[in-house]
Amino acid sequence: MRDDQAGDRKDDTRAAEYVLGVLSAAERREVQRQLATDSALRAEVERWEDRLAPLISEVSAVEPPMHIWRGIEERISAAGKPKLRRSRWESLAFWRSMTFGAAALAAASLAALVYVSTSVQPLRPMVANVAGVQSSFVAAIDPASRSLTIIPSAVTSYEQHSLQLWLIASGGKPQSLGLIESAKPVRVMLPAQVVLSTDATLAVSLEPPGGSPTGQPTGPVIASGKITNL
Amino acid sequence: MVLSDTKTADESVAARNELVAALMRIADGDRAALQFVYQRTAAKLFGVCLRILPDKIEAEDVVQEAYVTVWRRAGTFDPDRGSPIAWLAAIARNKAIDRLRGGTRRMKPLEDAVDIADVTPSALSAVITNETHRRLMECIDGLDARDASAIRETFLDGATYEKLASRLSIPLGTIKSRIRRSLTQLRECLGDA
Repeated sequence: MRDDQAGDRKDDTRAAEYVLGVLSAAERREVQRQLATDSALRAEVERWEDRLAPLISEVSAVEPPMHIWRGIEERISAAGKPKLRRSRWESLAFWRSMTFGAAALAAASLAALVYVSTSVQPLRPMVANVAGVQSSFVAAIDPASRSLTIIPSAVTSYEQHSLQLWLIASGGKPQSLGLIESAKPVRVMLPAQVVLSTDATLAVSLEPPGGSPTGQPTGPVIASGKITNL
Repeated sequence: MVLSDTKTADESVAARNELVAALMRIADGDRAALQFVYQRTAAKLFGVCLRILPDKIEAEDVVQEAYVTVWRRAGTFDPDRGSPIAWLAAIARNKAIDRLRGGTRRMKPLEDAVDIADVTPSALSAVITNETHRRLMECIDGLDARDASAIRETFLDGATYEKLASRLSIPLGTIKSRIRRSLTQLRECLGDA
């Protein structure tokens, strides 16, 4: 190890140690936290995963009991369809369609999500693909901070209207989460009375400027989608 | 089976391509593709989890979590950045190691653990089929024999530096520097960085 490359080498050593599996719980959490924002470290970890993976050939295969697959099927039924696509999230055009500040906010939220999803956390992040015929959004919810970020992915311009976001618990009335934007991500804090669960639905309705005057949706719903665990 | 049988180089490539294609279909919500990946890889990944978590119930839970993660995150797999097997193994190993570090698991009697941790030479040779596997094994064999076995064991059972030090009855600082030196040596030997 040479001192003039100490920074890179230190990161590489950490990545290697992480993949090898010698780090303590606290050290692993630290690496996982860093992985959320540090793409160089992520690349190092991926390289080490690739390098060392052949070692699993030294482990004997053990046929899992039948109920394992059934359990997976049940869990993915509850989870819904896969949501995250590298192509979409990392598409330049997608990010360019937003202002820089908005993109930075969304990126920070996503980074936080990735971190939460890779660490041991009692509260799992949730996502929703809020889609309609002409407009769609992606929402990410961090139950720990009770914040929701909703990002427009393809939205028709609705002049003279406001877009209002609603959360509808299974069998419940829509609860307003506030106004959102058609061209940039918006982060909202969830009101205390909102109970998060994966059978709830998010919906976006067209409302008069300033939002629904009645506290309930008054205009057409342009997009909706179920909340699922990430 | 992709992760266990002896295969020719061509068959390995074909198996890898099938897995990559299946991961792409999973990203589109294709459950049959998930089942395909499960059938090809579950026995190996269950073995990997059991080695880290000798408590069978915990290993079963972790392997289920791993495939649910595969379902959710298949869209983030990038075949240009690594092999599907490495990606799948990393998901299972990370979950198993994080669970192991959670410290809540039941302790198993030593006899059970030793029984499960047994590695047979035949299992070792079974999968060394393609160039990458062969190269890694050569590079590991190039290490000091004690370090080579420490690297192997740690990767397979997820032991911390502390555990490794007490297992080998050597000071913590010594084992850390030996493992780090071995990792550097491995990277240089593999020559891909």
